[in-house]
Amino acid sequence: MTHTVMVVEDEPYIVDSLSFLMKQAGFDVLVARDGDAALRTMESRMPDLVLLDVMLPRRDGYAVCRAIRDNEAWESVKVIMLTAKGRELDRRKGLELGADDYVTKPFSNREIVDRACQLLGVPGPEPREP
Amino acid sequence: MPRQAMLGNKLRRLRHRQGLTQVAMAAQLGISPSYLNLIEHNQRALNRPLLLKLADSFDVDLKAFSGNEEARLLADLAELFGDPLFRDIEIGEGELSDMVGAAPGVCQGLLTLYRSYRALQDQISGLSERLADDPFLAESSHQLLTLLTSIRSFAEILHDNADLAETRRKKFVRIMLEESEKLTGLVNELFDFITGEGLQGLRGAETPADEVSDLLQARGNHFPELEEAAEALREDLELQLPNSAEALAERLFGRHGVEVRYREANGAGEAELGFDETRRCLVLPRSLPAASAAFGIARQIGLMSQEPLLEARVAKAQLSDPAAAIYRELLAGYFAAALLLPYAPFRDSARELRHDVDLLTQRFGASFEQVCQRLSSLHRPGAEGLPFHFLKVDIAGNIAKRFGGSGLRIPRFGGLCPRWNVHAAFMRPDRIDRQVMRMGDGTTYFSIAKAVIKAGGGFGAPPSYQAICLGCEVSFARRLVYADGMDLDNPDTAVPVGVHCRICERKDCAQRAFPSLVR
Repeated sequence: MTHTVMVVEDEPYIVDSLSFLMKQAGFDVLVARDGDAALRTMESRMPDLVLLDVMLPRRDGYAVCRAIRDNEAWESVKVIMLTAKGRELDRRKGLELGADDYVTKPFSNREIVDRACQLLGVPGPEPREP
Repeated sequence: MPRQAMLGNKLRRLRHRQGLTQVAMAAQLGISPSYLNLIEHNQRALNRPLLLKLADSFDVDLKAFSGNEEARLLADLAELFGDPLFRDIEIGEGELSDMVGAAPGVCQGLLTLYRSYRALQDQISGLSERLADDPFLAESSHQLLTLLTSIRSFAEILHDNADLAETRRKKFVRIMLEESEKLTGLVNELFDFITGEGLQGLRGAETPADEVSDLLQARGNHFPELEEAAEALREDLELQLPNSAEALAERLFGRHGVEVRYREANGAGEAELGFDETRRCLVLPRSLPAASAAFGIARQIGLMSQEPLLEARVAKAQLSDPAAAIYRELLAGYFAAALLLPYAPFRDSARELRHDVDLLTQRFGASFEQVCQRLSSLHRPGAEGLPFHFLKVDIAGNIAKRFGGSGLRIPRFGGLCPRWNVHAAFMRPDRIDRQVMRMGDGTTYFSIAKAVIKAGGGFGAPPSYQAICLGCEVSFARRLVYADGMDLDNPDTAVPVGVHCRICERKDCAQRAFPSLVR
């Protein structure tokens, strides 16, 4: 079964790179550009994992995370928050609201792919030669 | 008699203006030259009949000799020299009144200069607060990270995928170039901002307490080496919970030969309060509550047993001398807290009791303030407590202690937002006040505040009034017993607050005390 990853991010180039990486790792990819769109998309198609930026227009990442956790139907959905580096409070707040993991920007591709695979219980890509 | 002192000088100036000798003026006033000389040197009073004669003979305005204006000038000057700016200048008795009498114009000039200095200080404080909250800086750092993230990500994709299709490879390289250009532009803008607005030097004159507060903030209010030392000592001294001042006093005597003595709060003529090295005793006021006495003794144990550790830490901080003294005290206090409220059991109890401060005070034999302050210092990596802010304010609104561990900004320069519940706590000193407070940017905090009144001693001794505030970002509030029954999610019921009026954008606030500097 192919897992579905939803990228929730308002920066188009980061959406491009994350989509590329997730597809390369063998996942189907959904994209939402803001918090409201993310929740709307989830109503019609439930992803297995959400890569969720904190700073989003309209409804921020925390509010989206809270909405996901408040809905029992989405209990199994994993959430990785994308936070700004060094913002310890952002990280803790995300985990408090029920995120499963967090990655700080600027993240490494390897790190985010590994975390996604780990949470979805699939083997990560083979390590490459540096 | 300052007013008379000034009139003597005034009379002398009048005589000089008239071009008269003492003999000539004395003759006109019908007094002896030696008596006039005494008046001019403020040795005799310029009495009413003489004043009337002066008015008759020299056409002077009696009001100018009434001394009211000088008295006001003198009061203003006294206030000026009360400013900490002049703390190193000693002004002798009568020096100010002599100066007002001899050179009132210079005094006026000094006051004008001082007032303009104060106005500039206020402006600098406002700007400094504003920069710390500057939306441009916040937005820039977000953009910076976003650009770096996409550049790094595409660079790694290109590195890891040698077999990438040509069109894709070209697209990714183009994105990287575009993002690099944007990054250059952003960095240039940031440099312009920093040099243009002169970030350096905007902080204004710091007080030693501010220096220490900033250092504490930078250190995250956590000192692992003091925690370790306190834990080891606690075990070594075989201390039991709840803490007791008697048990600690026994240890202080056993280890360091220092006896704890108590004296009445009004005990004139008795031993001075504090540590007396020659008599090897620690003297505490009998009015001190048990928890405070225990803390005072633990502090002394810390100062005596951890001297090298404390001194090394103080030396490393490279503070000014007055700030170093405050820092040493603070570290000794931190050690005492770590000794009395040991990290792991305290953190576990806090969780178990859902941060019920009163229950924690009972379990540990500590005061409300000690428990709240300790809760804000649980930052051991991997075993953190909740990220709390802590604040202690006196009844006049002066900030005695501050630590913004929750992300809440607490102004360095006083002038807290009047809507914070730490002020209202004084109105109901018997209870804990709870508040959901929403900042201008929508960030919401949950805060509890309680007024603590310390008795002064016997009848008529003035008590001291302070309020303690503990709070956290609202997402953590459910872990606090105090949030039970409160609506935490409804932004409409949260109290709209700011940090300081000068940097607050709210236009509809009935509590505004100063105009906003924010556009």
